[in-house]
Amino acid sequence: MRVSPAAQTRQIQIQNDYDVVAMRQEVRQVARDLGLGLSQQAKIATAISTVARALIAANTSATMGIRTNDTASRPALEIVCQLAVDQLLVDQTQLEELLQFSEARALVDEASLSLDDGGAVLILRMWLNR
Amino acid sequence: MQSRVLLVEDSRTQALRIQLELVRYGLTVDIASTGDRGLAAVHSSPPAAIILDVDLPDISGYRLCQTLKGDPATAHIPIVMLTHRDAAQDALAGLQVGAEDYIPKDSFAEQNLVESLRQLGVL
Repeated sequence: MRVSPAAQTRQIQIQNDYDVVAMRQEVRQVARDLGLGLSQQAKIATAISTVARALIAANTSATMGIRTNDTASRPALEIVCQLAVDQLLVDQTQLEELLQFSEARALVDEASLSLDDGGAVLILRMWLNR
Repeated sequence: MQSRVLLVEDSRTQALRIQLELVRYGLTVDIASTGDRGLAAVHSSPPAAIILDVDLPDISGYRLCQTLKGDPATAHIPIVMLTHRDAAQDALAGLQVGAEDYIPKDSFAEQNLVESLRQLGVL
């Protein structure tokens, strides 16, 4: 799957509350620039801050990035969160609880969470009006 | 002609800070410190937009938003919720009762509020 980065985006290491606010602001601005409406901007920004706060509360380090995906069935703004987790200690259900996945998923059009050898990847997706 | 917005906010300090910021953009800002006063102000002189705190001393901002959006006389007025509550269920609740935008009171709050009012056509 080809993924093109959105303009003026960056990756943020989530370590403290300032990072949460910075990430939320970055997502809101990118969502606005991509033409999402106000309520969609608010939803995706809140979803990502929910996950980021949960990461901090769990004392888990993660990197979050913003990208657009123009090659999927529908163009989307995607927030990708990559985190290192110990699979011996955490299964999928525990990870969903730890990240407040269901709360975040309620705010976006689509969300996925997968565990692999290197850790876990969470993707929050909001459809673009193209 | 200057657009007029109504700010429903019980913290005098925060209300004055937001008012000062919006005045810089040419807006006239009326302040109501309770939900009841906000409701009365909307009916006596409908504003171009309402900036609404959630935690008010009498009724919740969610309830006030629902009331205004359920009244055909006021349903068209855009509402921006500006609140300390930034949990997922709080934002969802605000948008579900009809708020056009939901902005957490963080260090970017005033910047986002101005941008929101711009996107709503108030600025």
